[in-house]
Amino acid sequence: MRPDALIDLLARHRPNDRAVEAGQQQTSYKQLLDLTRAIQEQITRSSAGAGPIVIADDPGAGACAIIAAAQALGRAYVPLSASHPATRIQQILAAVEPALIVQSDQTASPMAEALSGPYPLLTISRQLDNLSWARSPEPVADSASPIGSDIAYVMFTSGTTGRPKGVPVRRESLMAYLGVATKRFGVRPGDRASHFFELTFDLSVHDIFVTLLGGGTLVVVPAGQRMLPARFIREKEISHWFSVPSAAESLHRVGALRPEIFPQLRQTLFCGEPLRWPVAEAWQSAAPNSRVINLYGPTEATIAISYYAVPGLRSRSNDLYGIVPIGQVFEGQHGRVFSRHEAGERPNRGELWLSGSQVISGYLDSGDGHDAFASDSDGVAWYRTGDAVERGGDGLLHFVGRIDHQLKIAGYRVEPVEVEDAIHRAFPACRSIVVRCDRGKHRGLVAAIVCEEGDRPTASAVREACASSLPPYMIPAHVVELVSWPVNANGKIDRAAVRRQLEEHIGPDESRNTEQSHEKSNRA
Amino acid sequence: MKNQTEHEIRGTVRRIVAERVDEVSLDDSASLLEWTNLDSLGVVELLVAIEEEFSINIDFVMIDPGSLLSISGLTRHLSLLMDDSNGG
Repeated sequence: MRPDALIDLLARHRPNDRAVEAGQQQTSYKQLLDLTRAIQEQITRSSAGAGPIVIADDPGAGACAIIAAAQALGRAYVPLSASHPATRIQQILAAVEPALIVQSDQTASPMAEALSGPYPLLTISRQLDNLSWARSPEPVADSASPIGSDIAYVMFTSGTTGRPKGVPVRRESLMAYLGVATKRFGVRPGDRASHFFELTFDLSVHDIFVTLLGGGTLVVVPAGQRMLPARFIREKEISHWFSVPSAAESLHRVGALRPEIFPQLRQTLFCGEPLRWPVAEAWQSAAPNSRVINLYGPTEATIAISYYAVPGLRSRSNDLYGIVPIGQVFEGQHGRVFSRHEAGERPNRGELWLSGSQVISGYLDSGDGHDAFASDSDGVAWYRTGDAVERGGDGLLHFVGRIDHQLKIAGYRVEPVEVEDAIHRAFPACRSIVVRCDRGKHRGLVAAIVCEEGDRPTASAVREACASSLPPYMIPAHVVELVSWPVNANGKIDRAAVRRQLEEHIGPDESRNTEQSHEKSNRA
Repeated sequence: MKNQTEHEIRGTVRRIVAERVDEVSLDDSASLLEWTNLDSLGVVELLVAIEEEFSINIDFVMIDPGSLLSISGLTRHLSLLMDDSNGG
């Protein structure tokens, strides 16, 4: 597939077929192609330098056109989210040194502060019929961007250094993924595929490319519907659904996954977090005409790199710890289970290492992720996922957990140290440990804090401090003050014990006395 | 299910929400997802707690979840459900 393949294919689909639906706005393939060409022309005709194109827009036809134009121009794209704080957006802009930013009428106002920097700014009108420069490009001598023309997009994930970590994905990697994805999970004209993911989440790349390459209709899931999308799937007659398992988990929790409520669904993909067997089975019975596929892959391995087609029946071999297997690595890519062979460790369990054309060769900032890459004795470079897996007797890979402290919140990666760092900077007298709780009164991302002296920050003050530098999914849902830290045999803070304490000792059924001994204050 | 006025329903909804969010003063029309510490998982647990408190089943297959994301929206929906089950 050549770099300009997407724009070529847009031109080959039936012009009046619907390409994108976002709320009331419906965009045909012809309109999408016209907008793509108009954006491409504006950029070519301007004096904007080389370097990536930043997208400051919500999911929809505008964003699809910017991505198609960037691809046709041989430029990387870098998505931003209006829900992220200005400081974080400015860190990202400084790291990528874009040639220009493309925004829409809708996002211009909420992102005005974040985009106040020096970069050229092109605005797409609400009706997608007009392009205008909010800040015109001035002639530049050379691009200062560290991102070369071999890069398709850059996603930023939570980093351990207190800054977002840039993951540059090569064109070659995207093409390798799309080769597998369009063959195995492709859509065709007439199909209606969900666009569930925000542009800053790399699974959105699948939504956009796989649907538009196939000539289907991309249907944007509104933010308010993502949590419980049953009515959306039915009303919009979605045939191809792709989301994090959380969306299915929530529908299962409220009893909405009744048999055959999604008869029109033909394909369901889940990715981003562990898929529990009871949820997969309930989904299958709700969508009896759909095949259900569990995908797995870190952003560093381009969207997804392994898959498992959920069979009609669970067996003892495919049910390990109640979690659906992540299955087998895509053809042409490689995975190995790296075991340290420590005493007591199962021989078939270890860290999953990945290599192949889908795997990145390094982070945007070479200071990031020293430990993330390794070479084996044959000189093959591997990406160390940090995910602990077990290989079953049938060769299938099973996700077991993380080997480090990284957390997943609704599919987003959260390095607890990045949140802890933000809290410490705002409240230097306090130390915090951030964990994910799945039981008890405080669920989700929870910050446990211990303060040495002075005024204790209120829960809302801690959350506000986080909100000024972190994206919404990294803001703790709860802040609980502890009297002291539980420590392990080496005298180090025991994170697992902190989590257990939060989950078990302050559950809803605990007596008030117990609660007070562990929790001095959890309210503003 | 006993008869409750909209005022009583709103009071109960406010209490259940207050048990779960940090914010001291929350506008009845404010989105619980945007203006509180609740994430989507937290909102789902809140909805389950409301179903239990009012001994009702909300049909999440038919309803627009966006309409349940504020104290006002929840009150409105619960009032309609109560009316229906009490024969209008």
